[in-house]
Amino acid sequence: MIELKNITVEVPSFKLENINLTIDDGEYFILLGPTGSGKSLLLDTIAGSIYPEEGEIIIDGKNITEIQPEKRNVGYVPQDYSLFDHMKVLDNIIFGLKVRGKTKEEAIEIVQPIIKKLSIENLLNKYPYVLSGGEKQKVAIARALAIKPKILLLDEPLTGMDQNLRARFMEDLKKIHEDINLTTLQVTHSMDEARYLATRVGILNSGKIEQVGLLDEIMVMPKSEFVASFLGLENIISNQLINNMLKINKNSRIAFRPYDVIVSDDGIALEIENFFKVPEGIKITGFIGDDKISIILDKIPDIRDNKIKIKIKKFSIIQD
Amino acid sequence: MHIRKANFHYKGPFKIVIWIISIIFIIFILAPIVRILTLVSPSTIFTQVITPGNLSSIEITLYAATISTLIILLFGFPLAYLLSRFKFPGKNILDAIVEIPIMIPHSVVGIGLLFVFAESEPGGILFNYFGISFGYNLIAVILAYIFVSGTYAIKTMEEAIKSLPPRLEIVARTLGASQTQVIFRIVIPQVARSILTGGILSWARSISEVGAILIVAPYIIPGYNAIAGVQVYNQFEVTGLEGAIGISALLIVISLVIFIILKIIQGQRKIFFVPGVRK
Repeated sequence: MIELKNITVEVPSFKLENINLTIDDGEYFILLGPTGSGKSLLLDTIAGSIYPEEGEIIIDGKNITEIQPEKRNVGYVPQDYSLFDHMKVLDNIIFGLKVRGKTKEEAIEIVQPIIKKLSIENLLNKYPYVLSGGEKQKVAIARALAIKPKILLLDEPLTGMDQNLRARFMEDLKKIHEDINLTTLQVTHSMDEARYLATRVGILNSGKIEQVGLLDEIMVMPKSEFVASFLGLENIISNQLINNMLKINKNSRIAFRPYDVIVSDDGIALEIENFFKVPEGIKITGFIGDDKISIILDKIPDIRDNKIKIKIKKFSIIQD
Repeated sequence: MHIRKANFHYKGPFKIVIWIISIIFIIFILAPIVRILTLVSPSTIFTQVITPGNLSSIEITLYAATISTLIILLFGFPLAYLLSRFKFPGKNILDAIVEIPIMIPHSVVGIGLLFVFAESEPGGILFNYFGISFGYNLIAVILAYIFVSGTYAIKTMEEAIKSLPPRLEIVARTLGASQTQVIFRIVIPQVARSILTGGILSWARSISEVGAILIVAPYIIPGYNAIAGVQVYNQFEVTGLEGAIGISALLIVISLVIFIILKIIQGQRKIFFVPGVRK
């Protein structure tokens, strides 16, 4: 189990503030956030490359806040993989064991199962700089797993891969996690990864955690407009405009995705601003009262007086 | 994938002008060297060029340059690491200090060294304590070389370490390597080529040094002849241009041969990790 208690980290022009997070044993926790929200900085802090100004990092009950990175037993796979290009793949993988005093033979024996699990037997004699992005990622993960870490930190592990490779690699990550049940903290900006891999997610914005929970739970009840729009619930309107539809607090706001609407004669009036074709269908932007929203339909609807009537199939209630 | 060569785009007068200007400069560098070598006739090679005196001069020069280069690398690497990785107030000043030897006239350096290591000065007292004397000997030559040529190695190593992502070191440490292990197993192997390049630059710069040596060790080094550069100067003073040609030619040939060998070693991808080779 890893606990972050009131972590505050300051670097020039950025601050992670008051981060509180508990990740249980065997969990696959995904921290979602846009670029520049402080995701990598948080991983750097847990890995020990930067010490927090305040707060504590506790792994399995042991306070490691002030401990040197080499004593933390944390497996870290940064976004750029950070493979050691002057060593062959096998030497990269056993590096952690060799600096811990194992002989090469002992180390190779220890890492055999990991190499097999990741199916990288054919890469062992190559230098990292000739590998593809996906291969590098696997090697970096194997190297991190070799030291049998208490927690695995993954920084945007699927960024830069093409669609096919991403899908396959997500499966690999899931399988590895299921096999060894290692507590994992992954940071990413991708909802797909969160949906497929995460047991729980957190949303990070400008150095602060806005919400933690099950993804479905957060989707239904985002705590802030930021969370809602980050999760793709980009339309936010006040309930007052449609309070004949919803029996919730008049002052609350609801959020919904552009896809989650249908055209319906007994719906609410949407005053159309314009419409154009997008890869998913026809995107229509317009106004409900003063709130500008966009919707995506599969065909152009009948438009009367520059208005159509829509019903929101699925929506979330922002509960701040 | 086929990659078009970059110079594909350069055409016409622009390309010709660039070539002509570059060639003029290259000729200017090569001309004196080639001229000296062409002055040596085969009949004089053994009588005027390969003489015991000249060989002794070259030997002591190469020896002193090599020792000073090793000392520069030993002390220069930690300094380069400090300048490229640590953050502290006054870092710019320290960086500037490292570059000072390039701009001070080297005769001034010689005088400064003589003062610092004179017997009554702290440097001289320290040396005396270890039974070392400074002035007109090998120690003086080595110290002068270190002073005038250290900058090149330090700057080269500093730039190389700066270009190495710090995250490599962090990852190595999370894997269990101590800070010292990271230096020896990650940083040094990754910048080995730059260490050699810096070493070659400093070594070459040492061999060509005359100004400071004329002050601190202008005479015969005990057990050897005078430093090669000084010997050229002395011969020129005594016998004019003719007399200086032999030792000059020998110095050029031996330096070039060693320089070329080092350059070949440096280019060996099997020996040195070459950064920037990425698929």
